[in-house]
Amino acid sequence: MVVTFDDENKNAKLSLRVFEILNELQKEEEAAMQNRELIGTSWKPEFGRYMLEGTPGFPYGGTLKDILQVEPNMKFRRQLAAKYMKPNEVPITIASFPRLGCQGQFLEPHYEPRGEASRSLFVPDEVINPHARFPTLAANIRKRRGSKVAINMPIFHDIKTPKPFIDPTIPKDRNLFPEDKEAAEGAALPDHIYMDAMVFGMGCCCLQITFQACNIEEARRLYDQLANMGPIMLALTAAAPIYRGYLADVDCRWNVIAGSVDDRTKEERGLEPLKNDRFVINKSRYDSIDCYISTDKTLKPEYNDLDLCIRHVLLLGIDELLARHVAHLFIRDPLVIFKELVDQNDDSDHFENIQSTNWQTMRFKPPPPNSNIGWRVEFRSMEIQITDFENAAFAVFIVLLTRVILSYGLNFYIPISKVDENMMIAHKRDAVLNEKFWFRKNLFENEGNNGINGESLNTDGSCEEHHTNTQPPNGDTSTSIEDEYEQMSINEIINGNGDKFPGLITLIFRYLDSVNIDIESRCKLGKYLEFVSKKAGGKLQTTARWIREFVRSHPKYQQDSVVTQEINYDLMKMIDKVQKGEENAPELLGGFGTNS
Amino acid sequence: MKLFDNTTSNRVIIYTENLMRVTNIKSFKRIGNKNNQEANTFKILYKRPSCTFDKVNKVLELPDPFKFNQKLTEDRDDYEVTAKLFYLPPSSTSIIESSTPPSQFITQSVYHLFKLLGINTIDTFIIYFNGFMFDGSNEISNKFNKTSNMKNNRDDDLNNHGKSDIDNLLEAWKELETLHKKNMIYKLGVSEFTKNQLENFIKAVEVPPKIDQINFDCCAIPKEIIEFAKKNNIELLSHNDSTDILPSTTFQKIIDDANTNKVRLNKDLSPRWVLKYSVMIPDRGVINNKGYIVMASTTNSDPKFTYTIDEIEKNGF
Repeated sequence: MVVTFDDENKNAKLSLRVFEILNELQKEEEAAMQNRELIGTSWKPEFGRYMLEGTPGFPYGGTLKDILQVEPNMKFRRQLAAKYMKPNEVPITIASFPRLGCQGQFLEPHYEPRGEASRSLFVPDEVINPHARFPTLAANIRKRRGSKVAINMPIFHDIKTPKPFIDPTIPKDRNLFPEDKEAAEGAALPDHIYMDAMVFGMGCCCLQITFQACNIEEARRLYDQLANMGPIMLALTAAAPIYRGYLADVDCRWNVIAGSVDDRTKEERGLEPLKNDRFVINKSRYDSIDCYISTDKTLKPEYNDLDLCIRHVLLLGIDELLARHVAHLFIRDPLVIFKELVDQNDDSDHFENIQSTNWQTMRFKPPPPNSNIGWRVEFRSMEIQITDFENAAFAVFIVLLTRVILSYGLNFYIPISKVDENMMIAHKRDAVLNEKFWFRKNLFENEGNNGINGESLNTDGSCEEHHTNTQPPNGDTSTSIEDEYEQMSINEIINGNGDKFPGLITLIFRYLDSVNIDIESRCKLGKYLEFVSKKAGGKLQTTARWIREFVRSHPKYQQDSVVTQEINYDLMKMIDKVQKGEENAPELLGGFGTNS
Repeated sequence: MKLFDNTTSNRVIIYTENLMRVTNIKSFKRIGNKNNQEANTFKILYKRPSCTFDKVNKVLELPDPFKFNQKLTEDRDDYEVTAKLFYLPPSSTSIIESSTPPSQFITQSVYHLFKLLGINTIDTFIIYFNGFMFDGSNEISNKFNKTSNMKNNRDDDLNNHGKSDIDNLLEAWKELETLHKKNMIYKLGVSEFTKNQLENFIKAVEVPPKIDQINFDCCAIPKEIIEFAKKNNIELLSHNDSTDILPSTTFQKIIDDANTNKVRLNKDLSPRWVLKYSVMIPDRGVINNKGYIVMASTTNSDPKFTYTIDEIEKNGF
């Protein structure tokens, strides 16, 4: 996000100038492409007009040295973005802007909330990226749903927060749009922070990683195995404890986004009997995945224990599991269609349309037609952190974890309904410290160890299909599904639990011990892993906790959950300084990242 | 399977399975402070009792390397094969001179790795001479004092002179150079050498090491060795191998397990070397295969045996 500081009035606002900044950045990118130069970084518009999405110009290679390019590339992106900014503007990587939708001025330039597309009580349409797709998305979601989206996040009850908490900043008497009365009529829940527009969710920022797989089997395997890491990493990277100027009782953005694009009608949500709509759909189109899709023998049918509603789609040449996955994506209506692109036969546009408006914790990405790009898997749950070191550390952790998963053939399977439970648990305040998550006890129960007979594709990490000599079953397949998993804390999952569970960090270190790695790289990777380990162990605060502490210890804070303009200004200033290395944040960073 | 009396075999080669496939939670059990992987590793192999006698080289192999398929399946170019040979400390009953690492161990270990994986080249071969330990200094002599098994005290004195340390290794290194010149090994490496040891070593050998593998705090390596390595095109790699790669208790367990599985072995066997190997697919960062090979022989076995390179070339695999 780009934040602009009004030092005179002690106000930190979101800068809508990003639209122009993006233009400049994309011009540079195009010029480089014309000159056939390798572009270091690439820029895309996102839903919020104040947002920039930066990606590496080309994919990182697969070696350990390449992984170390992540942090320099992120730093480079930040520098590049800052190049086109005014002196009082800064690029800041935070998951949610605390005062989006507050009374007063939170946008630069300021606009009143009177937009037709969102019809929001709190935010103007000008906060949305003007490219046709985005406001249309917002409006169509509202129209299909039959009301504005209604996001309610529990408020954090501090000592002086009223109980029940009824938000005084909701304009109850406005009569500009028919939807204005929804808040008073029950859409705004007591003891909650009420948000009524897509931007509250889609205007949040996150850290996403896309992996290249060597073939479709590997892609499906990674998709499944990383699924339960979604909630774990969400809890570890939690960074969004403030919405509309109030401290919330949640630390993560995920449910906010889920609510912000929830286009299900009342019938689909099960609130009214089915008349016009075909079925009850359990989740918003933005949520965690509903089914596993791998062809590995370790995927027992009991793991896919969520009721999938599927539209009957005729899909030729793929197996039932994958067909169901796609059919489940297609239960959603398209949200935006460009008239000129409606009729087509060979392009994958329609698939992409539905695929890209199903936002889930994992995304399975088939190769686009007519390209060299292969099967990919996207890991999407992590919240963005304040500094490049932290973001790189989490990225590196996940990348190394995938290498370990593929090298050892690890098995992370638990019933997918439990993964959903984990997503709920991950949102809780300080989940890293206080909560336990469902996790598989024995990650090594794969075909080799479990004695599961039969064809096993690629259990040796190779890409060719071949038959391996597996041992005959040793009769040990009788443990019930419930015995396979139990509740573990984030600390146990990441750092281990004595002899019972090795911990993911231990596995990664074991992997690093088994490869040829130079000492410099080993030192750097070691630092990233140590950082993640400390976060998991509670020795370093999550970003959410750090932000919370900053607010609550601010001299002007009234212990009433209110994040005033001044507190927000000081918070944004602090974040900017910490990112630049001008201020220390020992509870957050512990001295990591200051040398790079 | 029938009882196979192998007590007459006085040289034995033991292979583990692919550890990437049989690692389990127990491999991470810690005993004291140390990671117990190696011990558990060797335990694993005896789920599949079998053995075969290599008539050419007169060595017993446990299990038969062709019985469980570990041959690499894709293009050889897709893989990176790394091997590290550990010369084990001589036992008190050994007649092998403690100061001179037998050079024929090298070709022998290469032969068996080739056989196991179905290859005829190794990308990186690192040699670890028992007793070396990088201690963060640039010293010429950095051997840690593990003299409990050393028979000859006079050799100890010699060993503490910098030059003699290296001298003893030169014969072994010559064997590596021969294999390198035959394009069987691409990169040669040493382990736990200090900067001064590297300096002396480079002057004394024909084909210099491209790698020095060190077990030390990666963020605290002295800059002298870093600069020296850069200047001389030597990669400083990190590792976490124990210097006591095959404790005697573990070896005893191997013998006992073998006996339990009806492969009776000579009681007089002592382990001589351990080869740690790994196969990686570097483009994807995936480890495909990892394991150990152990050679053990009796005191009355011929200490000067040879595996000729011609045999490897002839036998193919």
